[in-house]
Amino acid sequence: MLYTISGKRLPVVFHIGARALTSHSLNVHAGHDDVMSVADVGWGMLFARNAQEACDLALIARRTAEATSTPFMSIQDGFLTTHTVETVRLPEPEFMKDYVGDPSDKLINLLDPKNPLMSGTVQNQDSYMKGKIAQRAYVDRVGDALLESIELFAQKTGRRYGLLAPYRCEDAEYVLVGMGSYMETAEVTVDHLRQQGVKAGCLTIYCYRPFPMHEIVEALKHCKGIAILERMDDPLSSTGNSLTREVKAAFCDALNGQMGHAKIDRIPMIYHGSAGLGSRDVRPGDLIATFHNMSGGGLEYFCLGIKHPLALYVKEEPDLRPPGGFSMRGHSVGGFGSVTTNKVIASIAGDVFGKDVQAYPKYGSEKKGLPTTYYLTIADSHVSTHSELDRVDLVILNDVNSLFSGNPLKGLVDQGAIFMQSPLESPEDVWAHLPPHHRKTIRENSIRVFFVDMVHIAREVASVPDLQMRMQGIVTLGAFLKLTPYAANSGMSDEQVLSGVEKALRKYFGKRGEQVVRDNMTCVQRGYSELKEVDRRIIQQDP
Amino acid sequence: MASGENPKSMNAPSERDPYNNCSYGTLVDQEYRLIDLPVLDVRAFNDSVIRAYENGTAEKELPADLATARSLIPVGTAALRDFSYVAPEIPEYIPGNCTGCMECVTLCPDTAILGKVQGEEQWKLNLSKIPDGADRDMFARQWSEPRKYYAGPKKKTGEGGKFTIIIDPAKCKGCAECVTVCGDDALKMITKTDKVVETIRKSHRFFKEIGPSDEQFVSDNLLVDMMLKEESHVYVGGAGSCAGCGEGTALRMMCAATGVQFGNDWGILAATGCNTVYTSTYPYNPYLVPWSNSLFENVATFAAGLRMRWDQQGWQDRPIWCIGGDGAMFDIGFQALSRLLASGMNVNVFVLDTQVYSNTGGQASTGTFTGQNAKMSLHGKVVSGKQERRKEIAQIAMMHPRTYVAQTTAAHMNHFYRSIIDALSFDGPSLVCCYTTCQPEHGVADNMATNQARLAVDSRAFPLLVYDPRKGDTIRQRLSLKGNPAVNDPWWTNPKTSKTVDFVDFARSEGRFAKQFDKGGNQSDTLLSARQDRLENWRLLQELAGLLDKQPAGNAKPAARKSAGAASLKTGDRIRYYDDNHWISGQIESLETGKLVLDDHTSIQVDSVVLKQAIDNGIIVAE
Ligand SMILES: Cc1ncc(C[n+]2csc(CCOP(=O)(O)OP(=O)(O)O)c2C)c(N)n1
Ligand code: SF4
Ligand code: SF4
Ligand code: SF4
Repeated sequence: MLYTISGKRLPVVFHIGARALTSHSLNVHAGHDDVMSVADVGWGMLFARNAQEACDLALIARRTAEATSTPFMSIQDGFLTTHTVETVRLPEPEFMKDYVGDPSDKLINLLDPKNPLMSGTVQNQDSYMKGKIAQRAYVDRVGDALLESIELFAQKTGRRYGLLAPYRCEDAEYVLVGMGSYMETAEVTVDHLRQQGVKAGCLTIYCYRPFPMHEIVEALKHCKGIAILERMDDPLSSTGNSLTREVKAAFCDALNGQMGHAKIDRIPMIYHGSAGLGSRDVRPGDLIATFHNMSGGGLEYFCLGIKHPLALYVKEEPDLRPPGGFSMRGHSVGGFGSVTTNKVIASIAGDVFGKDVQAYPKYGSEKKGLPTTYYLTIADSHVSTHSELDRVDLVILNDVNSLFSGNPLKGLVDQGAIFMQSPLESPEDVWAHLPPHHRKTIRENSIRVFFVDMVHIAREVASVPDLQMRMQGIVTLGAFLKLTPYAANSGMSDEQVLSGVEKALRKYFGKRGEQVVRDNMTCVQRGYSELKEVDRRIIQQDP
Repeated sequence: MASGENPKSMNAPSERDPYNNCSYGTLVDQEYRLIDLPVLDVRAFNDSVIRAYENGTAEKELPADLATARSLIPVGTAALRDFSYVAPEIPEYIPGNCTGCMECVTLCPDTAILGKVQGEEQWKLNLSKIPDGADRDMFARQWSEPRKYYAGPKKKTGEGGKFTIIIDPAKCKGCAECVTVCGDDALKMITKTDKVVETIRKSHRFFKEIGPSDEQFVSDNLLVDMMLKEESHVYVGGAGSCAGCGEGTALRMMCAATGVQFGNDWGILAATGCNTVYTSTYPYNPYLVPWSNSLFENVATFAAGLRMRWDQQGWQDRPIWCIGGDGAMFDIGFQALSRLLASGMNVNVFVLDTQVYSNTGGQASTGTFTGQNAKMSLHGKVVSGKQERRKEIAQIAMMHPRTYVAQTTAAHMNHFYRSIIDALSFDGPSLVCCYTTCQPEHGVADNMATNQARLAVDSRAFPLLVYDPRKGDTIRQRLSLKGNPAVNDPWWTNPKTSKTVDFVDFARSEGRFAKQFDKGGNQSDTLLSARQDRLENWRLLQELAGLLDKQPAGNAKPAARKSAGAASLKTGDRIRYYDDNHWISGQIESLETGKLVLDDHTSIQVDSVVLKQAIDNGIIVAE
């Protein structure tokens, strides 16, 4: 199908949440093996690292596709990017119209009875190869047209993309190369390593097809070593996964000075590894290990984030969130409405308080009734790390069972806070019901404990029975407003804050009717006013 | 002669094609159909690419340029193709024997045998324009005076129509199908000597230049006459199908029935299979309508998308035919087909049911009959041909929400045309499954497509049916088995031999079942189970159509039943028969054997009881 679309020169753009392929098992999360397996179908391929880039590259892809009669895949990481709420600047509809142009000017109807044609024909030895090679006339234009689209986009929006995004590569000795969300994590990791004196850089590849062979060699040729990370594993290829093979081939041509390359006289050591398969977390610590592996002349092929003989050992796990950032992590149960609440909070922090946000849930494949974790980071600047949070300022326990299984307080900073569901009235009782080892942590780390009966509030407020369960989550928003300084620091009146909150609730629940919006609002207000704290004096003692 | 402003036009005579037999237009000359799109220059394509292919220089000489990059082909280029070298024999017309039944014209797979009728006066005038006297006489001798066009109309209006059948020598593949279907000895195969070829070429040229048929002699009520109209020839000759291919005829007839109503204002999407290979192998296109193929498995999805797009453009009134073989529709594209039928969209599906993957050399499909020797279920020591039973796409389609379904064959011309016309008028999805003989895979001769399709129906291998949701709310109101012989009986009894005709008889006539018979001609157990399968399928249809209710238990023979009144009509009487929408005149050939012969040269064979019921119910009345 993909081949017939490009062969017919149909300029469609597929927006793809790239996903791990079902092989030894099924997985619905991020992987690049799906798109890499169709990298030879004659489509352009662009990879975004975050929501903003996914949005911008979608437009750039569409314009280029129509300019060259070439289909494009506009790719982002499945779930990691597709299901993350991030601050974006949405292009204005007028700009998009102007930038992409009127499709009817460019699209050709190959099935028009007034202009009848036959397409999708059968060709034999006499003609098939001619047609196939003649297609180069279309494809040869793609590179320039893409650059032109990128340039025009930069002029109109100020957001400048390229085929690549080299980051601190000019003088780098070691460079990490890759595509997709972890390459943003790589940039802050490079900053961290530079502070430690490591001459690190990273090279994000936005455009995989057409493959920017000259630009890649140019960006990397001076390095001692490069490490290519890929969200897939295809060991029978022997020479490396898809991107690795292409980079190696480009360097081979450059060494010979052929295919338009300026001749080079040496090739950096090329390391390559697999990371993030099926949304396996890729952390700054993993990336640091990758640099150390290069500089130490370690494994030529490696993998990250698992226990395996080929995996790299992680020594250091720095906190690379933007300075002054605030993070929270929630432990809930599917169906409580907590993941939606997390998005609502993100919207309020972004739209009402003007912050940069990044919110995402960690879903398994399970349906309702099973534990879910959700994450939110709020900062004054773009949040570049795309990893699960292990340093948090606030832990929300919608699901109190999580206190007894696993460790929901993991990574909670000193003087951080817990906000938890509790049906109990008195702070003493709440404290008494916490497991002793958590009480110890709380006391030693000066953690504050807040609680409210979210279940009870939701049950009282929900006017529709099927929402009783789902409205527990939104009570959290009241607690958020009270426990974090954003409302207080925003300089807004209470009314202004409340009207912002209501606007956000309407955005998410408005289509379910006015009553549902009002019920949610009531839950928020009650969460705010009924919130209680377990006093420090109580915490100091064991019950 | 087709005017070629361009002296190098392929649509003009040349040394290779002195009489311009290879030219646009089927009954009269036509121009190229130019288009206004930046992707293809029709004139340049026809005059350079087609020319190079016709000259044999294409492979080496034609460049790999932008024109070939998308492999687009203009419509109708197959008209420029010359097949005159493929067959050693060609049909000859014997005017004196011709009844003007149009069966030869309708059932030729290659649009190579053409008919025309003109009022005698006009005809004489037209004829006089042929300058050479000998030529004129030669051509005039090929015109006949069948009662249908000559004596009949003359009695009514004073003028009779002269009729002719002409062969297009560039398109005929010599399959002799036309000769076989002509029950009147008005055609015979003759050897292609130089002189014969010269005469036929000239005649074909005169035929195209003498003007169109005279509308007054072409009855809209006689569906079989539709190929006298130029607009029915949407599928021109020159496709690369096997000689005698049953699919080719079915496609032509589908195109004709759609073309007479919609001209060229409709489209075809085709699933990969023989049909795409013989109609779209570069650079020859026999269709005059927009056409596209995507893949083997996705034609229904493609059609759904096109329907949405066309509707969006306000083209609701333009039909879309979505075609494919049994492999494409029963098997690999099955879920896509089901999805389309469930969508309620106004798309027509046409299944070319060869009961096998013909294109790839005969692999079994789920439409393959039990006992058939097909690849993937080859007849060997352990397994004797296909053991599974045939899946019935028509029944499955019927169970989709409000879907028009027909099962038909090209041999049953009226039933076929009606099915297509009713599918087109149905406001929703429709599926017409057509039995199509495939010579190499069925193991039958080139001239046998029609005969084998008839036998397939007579033997219950492939029952005719129409399921029209417009006819009522119950299955029995909607489902009609009209057109099958002896609809109330398990098997049909051939009146000539007084023997029942069952699936074993059908199998005996085709090479694909040859291994199911021993040297003494005795059938295998597999074949007996195949027969049982066909019987059960037929009984199911009878039950659904409400035909079993009135029967006494135990399959009593129709003869044992009390014959109904019908006293008013007898054998030999002229009658009028109501075919769903039209009255067709004809004659009762035999009240006892239940045979009607209609003036459109079709016959209807039902059992005598049904015939009498039809008379009682006013479906058949005295003329
Ligand atoms: C996915 C796929 N599988 C296999 C083929 C090869 N193929 C082309 S046509 C065909 C069989 C077509 O059979 P059917 O649909 O019955 O049509 P027929 O040729 O009999 O008219 C096959 C297997 C293909 N084109 N695509
Ligand atoms: S011999 Fe076959 S191809 Fe030729 S006219 Fe007759 S039916 Fe058509
Ligand atoms: S089939 Fe025979 S009788 Fe009928 S039109 Fe053709 S030539 Fe005449
Ligand atoms: S193989 Fe069969 S279906 Fe295909 S063209 Fe030949 S006769 Fe027709």
